[in-house]
Amino acid sequence: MKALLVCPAERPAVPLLQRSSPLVLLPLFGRCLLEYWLEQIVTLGASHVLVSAAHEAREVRALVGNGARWGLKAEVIVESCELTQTNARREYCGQSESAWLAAPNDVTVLDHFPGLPQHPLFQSYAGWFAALLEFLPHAVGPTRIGVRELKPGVWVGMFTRISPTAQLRPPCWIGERVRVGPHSIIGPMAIVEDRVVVESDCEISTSAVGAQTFVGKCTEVRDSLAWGDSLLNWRTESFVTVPDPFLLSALGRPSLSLTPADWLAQLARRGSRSPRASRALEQQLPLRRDR
Amino acid sequence: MTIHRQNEILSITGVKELGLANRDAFCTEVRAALPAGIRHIVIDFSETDYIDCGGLGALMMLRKAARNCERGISLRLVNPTPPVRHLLNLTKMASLFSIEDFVITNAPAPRESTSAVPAI
Repeated sequence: MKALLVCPAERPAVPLLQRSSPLVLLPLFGRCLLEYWLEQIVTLGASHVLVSAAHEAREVRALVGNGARWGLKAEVIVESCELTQTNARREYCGQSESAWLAAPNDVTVLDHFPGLPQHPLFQSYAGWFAALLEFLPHAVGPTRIGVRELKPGVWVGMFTRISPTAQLRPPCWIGERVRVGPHSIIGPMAIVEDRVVVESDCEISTSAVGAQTFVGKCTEVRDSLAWGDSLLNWRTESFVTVPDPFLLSALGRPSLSLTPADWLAQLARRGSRSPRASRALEQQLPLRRDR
Repeated sequence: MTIHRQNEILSITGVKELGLANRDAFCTEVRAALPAGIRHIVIDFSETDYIDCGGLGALMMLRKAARNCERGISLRLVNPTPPVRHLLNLTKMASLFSIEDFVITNAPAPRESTSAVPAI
């Protein structure tokens, strides 16, 4: 059985969410929306999935591959613009309807979590946060490894260190490889993505902290989305770039968009910065291998 | 930045930015404008599009100076823009100041403001 997943191209209501990566690849509880949907499609009985992507096809293809990870045959189709469900059905499902999953699962626009069409993700920041909270109890799917429910409503990922004096108030989600410092309070309604560092005496409530974000000592994140040094109040949609990195900053950049060519270029740049390489370049001599 | 004195009120308006680069000048100017008789300082942040830890430090210094003054000077921050509000909330400093949204007038300010800090 076939299914078509349509990646949303652009959503002007939530520019911050699509600043660093395509919307379907945004980390949500440690995984991206496309991963949740691929799992869902498999449970619905699909064996062949087409993923329609507009501008972000390269990144989508890097994630999906040939679909073997999900036990699927997957293809990424590049479109000039986002397909509507009607257009997608007409274009792809028209001739052999029996080979496709039954509607509405045959064509899905990935703008909501599986099973939560009433909570659109990309119409507003408040809607996005509400959808996250709604999906929070379902984020621990059967294929998720290592996430523990420390107490009712408090989920913690692998390799996370939480100070014994920190307070975790349900509902909250703390991802993988997170550090939570002493006397910090996480929750209620807090989502802390993977590889976040929360220093001591912080308070995070009714907020989402994006992956690889540093939350400095004594800071309070409330009603906000904090992504690196970007802080957005999801109620008022007011936004600020925090100028002081010791308060809020990005710990690193996601490497998903790097191709092998990018990696090689980075490696070459690093090599050229080493003193030995610099000397060799200055002397215009070839580099010799160390014994 | 414009500093205007009206009876017991010292109004500071036109603060474009308050950061490490200009905090010393800001503090010096405000302190110099604090002759006897001033009981209220009102800082209008409606034009401020940048504030950092240096600016927050300047506000804290001003607050301390105001509290230590024998006359008991009140310090109020009015019309803060989103960057100012965000940073005050992020650093938990919003609770230390009286923050209000209104247009500065020449009417005397209340001795002790009871307005709640608006949530952003």
